[in-house]
Amino acid sequence: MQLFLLVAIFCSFVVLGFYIYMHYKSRKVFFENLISFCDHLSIEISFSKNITLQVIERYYKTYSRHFQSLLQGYSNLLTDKQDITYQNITTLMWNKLKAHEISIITEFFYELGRHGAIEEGEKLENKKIQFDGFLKNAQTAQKKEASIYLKICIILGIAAVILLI
Amino acid sequence: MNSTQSIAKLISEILPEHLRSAFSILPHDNINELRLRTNAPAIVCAFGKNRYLTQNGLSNNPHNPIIVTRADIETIIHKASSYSIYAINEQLKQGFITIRGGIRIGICGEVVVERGQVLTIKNVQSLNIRVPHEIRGCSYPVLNFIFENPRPLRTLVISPPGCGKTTFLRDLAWQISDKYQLLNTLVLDERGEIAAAHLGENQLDVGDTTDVITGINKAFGFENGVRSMRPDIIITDEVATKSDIEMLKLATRSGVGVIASVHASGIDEIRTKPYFCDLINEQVFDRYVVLGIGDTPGKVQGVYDKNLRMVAG
Repeated sequence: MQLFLLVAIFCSFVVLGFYIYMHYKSRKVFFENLISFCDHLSIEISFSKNITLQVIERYYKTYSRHFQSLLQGYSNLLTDKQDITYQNITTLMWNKLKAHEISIITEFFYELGRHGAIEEGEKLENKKIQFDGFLKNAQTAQKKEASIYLKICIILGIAAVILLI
Repeated sequence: MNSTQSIAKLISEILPEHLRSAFSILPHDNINELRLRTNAPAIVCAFGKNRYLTQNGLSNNPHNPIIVTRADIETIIHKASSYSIYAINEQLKQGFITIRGGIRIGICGEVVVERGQVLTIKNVQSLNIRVPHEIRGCSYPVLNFIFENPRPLRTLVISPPGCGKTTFLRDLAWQISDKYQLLNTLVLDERGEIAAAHLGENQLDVGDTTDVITGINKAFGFENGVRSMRPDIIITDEVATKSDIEMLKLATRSGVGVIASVHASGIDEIRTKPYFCDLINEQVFDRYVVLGIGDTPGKVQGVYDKNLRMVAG
């Protein structure tokens, strides 16, 4: 019984550490998806000129859950012919994003599709540079902080087991 | 929901709130156009007459109409393009957007030109939203006069603006498909108004044996359409230029039945139109169908033979 309790405590700390690690990883994946979406849009705008809804539909399954959720919300606004405003886009944002990230990404979706092909392409390139910055920060945070938190939780788990023995 | 209600719903979806609420209470069956100009009253053409749009309906009173703002115009264009302006640039360059339901939105603004080529239209300041109507049967009375069992005669439909020429051609395609099921019809829908193809589906019914080429000039349509689709009949709208006419002559000589339309008040005006008088002199067409103003679009005033003698009317 005691052994079971010790294992459960240790596993709880490991799960916590893993949860924190996944938080950093999922942020990194989110920004990778955002950049990938920009690339897909660039290609479609340059060649087939499909509307944004069709681009989203085509590549939707290649994205992670959190990015899919954002795209689904944006698609619903387009399908329902609602006004695309800063307000209704902000409500779609993932709650793990920071304030300035939300601001830039909201602006991106607000401006999306309002220009001709050349201008749209230029805006996509400019936004990609900003998203690259977010990705680099997320990658750095994952390498440094996520690993540290995971190790700390494992160590705390071991310490808790030792103390209880 | 009938087609008029569906079209009214599609128009409402792209309008800003204050215009949408006013538009929703109008009798949509009789609306032809919705004219929106920046910082000017919204105007509706209904029953052939222009009237001001107010929150309570249509009015001849210029004192309390709904005023259209620049933001309204931008919202309509963005929604009409599904927030994908880049995808409709080819249409924008020609001064219109066609959306689902065959609804054509004419656009006025600043034309951007580079090296003599139109790149786009920007700073749009006015829109003309044209409401299509399906009037089933409006072309039926002329069917027997434009077919010599079962071959179609080469036919030119002559109509003043706003008399339902496109409505007539749309119904004609459907009637041919319905009555002569073994004939293949090809519709050259340059501006997407006849069949209103949207994402691969026709929004307006042109019949089960009709193929549609959308968004390309008549020259391409005639040359490639004849080769690839082997139509028995080609239907095309708004023949206007010298190259259109040269294509028509080629097509009529290829053995394919051709039904085309032209803007004119009647036969007399056609005789004086540049290049068109040659069509009459060379007897390129076997039949001329003249449309006129009536209680419904597509009202036939008369059918003439190649010698311009009336055979029905």
